[in-house]
Amino acid sequence: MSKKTAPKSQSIFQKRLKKFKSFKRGYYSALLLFGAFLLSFLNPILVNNKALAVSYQGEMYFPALTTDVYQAKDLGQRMIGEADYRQLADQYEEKNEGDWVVMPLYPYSPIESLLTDPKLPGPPPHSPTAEHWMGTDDRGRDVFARLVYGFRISLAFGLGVVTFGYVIGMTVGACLGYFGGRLDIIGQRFVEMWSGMPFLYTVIIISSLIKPDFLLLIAILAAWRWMGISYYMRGEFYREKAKDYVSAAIAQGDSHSSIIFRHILPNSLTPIISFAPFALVGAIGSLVSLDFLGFGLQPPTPSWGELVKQGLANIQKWHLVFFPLGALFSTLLMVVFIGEAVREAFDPKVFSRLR
Amino acid sequence: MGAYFIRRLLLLIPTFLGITFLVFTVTRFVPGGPVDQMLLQMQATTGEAGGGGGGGAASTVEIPTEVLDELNAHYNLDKPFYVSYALWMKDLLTLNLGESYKFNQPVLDIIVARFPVSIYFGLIGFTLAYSVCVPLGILKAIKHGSVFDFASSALVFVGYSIPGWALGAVLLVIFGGGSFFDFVPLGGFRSEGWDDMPMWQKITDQLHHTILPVIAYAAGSFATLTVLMKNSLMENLGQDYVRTAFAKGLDERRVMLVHALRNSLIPICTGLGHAIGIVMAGSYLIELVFNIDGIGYLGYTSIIERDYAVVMGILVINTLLALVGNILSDVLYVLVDPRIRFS
Amino acid sequence: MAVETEKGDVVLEVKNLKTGFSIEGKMAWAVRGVSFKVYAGEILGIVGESGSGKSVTSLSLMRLIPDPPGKIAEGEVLFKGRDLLKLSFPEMRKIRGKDIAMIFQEPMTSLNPVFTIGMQVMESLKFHENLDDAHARERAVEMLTLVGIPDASKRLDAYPHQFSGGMRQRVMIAMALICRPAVLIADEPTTALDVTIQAQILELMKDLQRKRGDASILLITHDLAVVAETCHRVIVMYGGQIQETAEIKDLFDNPTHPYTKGLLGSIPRPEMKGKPLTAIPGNVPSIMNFPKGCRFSTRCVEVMPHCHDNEPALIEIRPGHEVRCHLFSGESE
Repeated sequence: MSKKTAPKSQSIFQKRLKKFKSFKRGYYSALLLFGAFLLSFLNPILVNNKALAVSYQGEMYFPALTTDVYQAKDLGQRMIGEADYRQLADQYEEKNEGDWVVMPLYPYSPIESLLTDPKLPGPPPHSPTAEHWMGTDDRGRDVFARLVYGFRISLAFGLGVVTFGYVIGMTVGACLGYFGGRLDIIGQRFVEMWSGMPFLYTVIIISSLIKPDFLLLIAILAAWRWMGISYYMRGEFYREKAKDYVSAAIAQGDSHSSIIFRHILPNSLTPIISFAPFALVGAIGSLVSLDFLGFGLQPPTPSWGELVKQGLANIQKWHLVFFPLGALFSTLLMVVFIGEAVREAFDPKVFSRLR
Repeated sequence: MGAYFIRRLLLLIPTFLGITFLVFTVTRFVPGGPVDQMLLQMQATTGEAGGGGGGGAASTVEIPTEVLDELNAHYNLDKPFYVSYALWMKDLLTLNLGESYKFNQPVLDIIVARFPVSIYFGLIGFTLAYSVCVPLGILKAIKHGSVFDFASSALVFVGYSIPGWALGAVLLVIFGGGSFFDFVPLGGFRSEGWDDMPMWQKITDQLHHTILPVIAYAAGSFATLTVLMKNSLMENLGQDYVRTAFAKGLDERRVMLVHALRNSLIPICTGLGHAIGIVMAGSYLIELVFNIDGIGYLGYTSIIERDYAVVMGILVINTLLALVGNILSDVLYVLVDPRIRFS
Repeated sequence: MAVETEKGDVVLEVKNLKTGFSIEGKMAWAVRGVSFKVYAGEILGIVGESGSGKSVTSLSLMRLIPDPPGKIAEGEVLFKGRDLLKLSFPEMRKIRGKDIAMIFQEPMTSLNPVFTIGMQVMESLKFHENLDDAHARERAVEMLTLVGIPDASKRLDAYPHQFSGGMRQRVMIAMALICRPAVLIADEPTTALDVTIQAQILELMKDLQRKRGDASILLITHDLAVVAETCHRVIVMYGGQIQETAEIKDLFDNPTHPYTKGLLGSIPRPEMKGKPLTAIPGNVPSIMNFPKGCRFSTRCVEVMPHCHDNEPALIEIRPGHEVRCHLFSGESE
């Protein structure tokens, strides 16, 4: 008598992961985005006007890797203030005394003003050249460098807003849905009130008054973005609470927090996960909008929105608009693809066709 | 039914009060209010005239206290917080939104003067969005999985991944006389000397100024609306009553476009209610990109210039529109879903 | 208009029907080789647990299997000489609702919530018989009254959610029978209703069928009591196959297949007071995991060694009584 061994059953999570991977668009976007994000932490090594290593008269210096600021004259340069490493590289090469400089791949910093660069004649903003792949902005700062640093900031910002917003939203939504009753009615009014406030406008008002830094801006944005996930959470908790397994847990004497975290929450993951990518798109979009208006991150923080603003003021200089918006578009597109794949994996819509 | 709406309207009031109170608080307790602005202005002019000892810009010039008191009284800044809030609310109810210190005109007049422009763009964009997205969503549902579906999905992704105003900016750079083409003007509502143009030119000029902003407006809801329509229709196609319709021998067209569609339009309709906010209030981002002197633009500049009366006025209007939009959505929902209408 | 058939004629013949669903790349066969006949003027019951394939069978007859992921792979469904499975969909649509009609389990979700029941009932008439509004309305009122809806002409303009469950099912029946089909397929029509309403609906269905001597009903249910109440003949299904077929009295008096005996044994009866109910051991395996050989072998109390290797064929042990079981493979009357 032959018996077929049942195939090893995969956990639901594994199945979903497999499904996610089968969506090439989303999967590759996830890899690409994640890779780029990780890479961006190496920014100071890859895109910087400080040298990676300097060998001067037998001594090694590592300006990019440390916070030490080396004076020009310490390295044999006839200048006041901090050393200009690019010029130093040329200088050493000319002198040919055995000193050398290793510069990062793209030797420009996002915040340095290149007004005195001899390779950039004329007033800023400059169109793209071989050295400056995306030209400079209206203050003579390299656009490519600003774009690259801006990427990490935008993405980190977005993730921060989503996380913060989720924490608030999930808590509020779960409580309202779980405890219901009077708390729910009052809570709903509060949520309604809060969402009735014109989002961007209020943020601008606040921002114009207190000029927030990175973290504070995240907090402010999150304070207006948590409503989305709270609606979903409330719905889920309401629905799940009515189910039998919750009654069983209550009958067993489980505490509220135990029921919420151990029982209901794992079953409510679907909207949380499928909503996240789109929340991220919204957060990054809001940041760029705010920066564009001038009420987002403070200068000289490299930001995409600010570049667009300059672009509109200098409409002949298309590179100021195209490159940052192109970067924004690509990033958001990848997030959207990820979101689509996640949704298909976690919340597949089976569309059956009758005829 | 009626009771439900009366209750909703009544609940509007605490929500409205809550929001305005919050914003009023923010604007009051922070430096840089109208009086400070005036002071700065005054100092600037007196400083130029060579007053004060010691060099440099902002030197403290003595402002007579009577003037200060008068200013404070005028802006209700000398009264306790609650009183000034109550006074402001009282004014509000008589439609007196105060006076703009920058324009020296009643705030209401300033805002109302800009309504037509914002509504013009908002309405056209809104109509464009709905008249394109609803049929597109339906078509995508019918041809789910086809080449058409994939191609249009690409467009949808674009619409979602780039904010409306940003798309407008890109288009402006391409078509607005930048380095590429020069089809459309840089912005504004109408060209200079529009009144003197012959009729035909008036129309083309207006159209020229309208195209890009309207695309920007529509782009915002393009993606979400199309996807909503498609998903709503496809979800309904999986419902039991569709199977019954087929079992009766009805053909695919009738089942999809009569039975399923009618149900799938319900979430679309309810979204219409919220659209009223955009239509009326305009988007400051788009108006900024295209130099349109509408309500959005006004709101933005008034924040920068700390013209609080205007800021509050616009905030009030925005809030009211949002709340009214909610109620409108509810009304539409009732009208469109018999399960709610007759219960 | 329905073609007249003599009572006793075969009105529907199913031959070797095979329907499956594509699940995660593999085909799961819900119906594996089902053959039976439906005679004019009879009420034929198909009884079985969930997962037996009875609903899928009925949906296959109407070709209402969603494709994808489902597929009617093999077989013939002969109705008045034509194989329904070979018709084009436009031709199939002429038969649905007019010659063969179907009602479903959940009347609430089976009716369109945004249209009046009048519109939904009249729709078939307008579509199949091209009636104008006035005539259609007349027929609709007539039909609704016939199924027991009071104040029918006013109720035409009401919406489904304004009716109770039993009333909605009556509306469904009216909707299905309005074009006077030869066959009514009823897929668990009373499962979602209260017991008292259940009895009313069944009574209504029997009544309507009696009034039209040559009409047939194919009643799908999991409830043997319903079958006993209503049907002339019964088919017992398990594992996507027919396990036993018999006239109603014969089945209850002489249940032959161990599965049938198990089903009957688990119905509480007054004479068994004090004795434990017999239950069929085990659970219905999922479609992907049915055993080789006899589908019931893993749960059968009378199982024999070679039941696990060979699938028994359906054999007639008495006129009108067929059974698929190795216990009877060699037997003949």
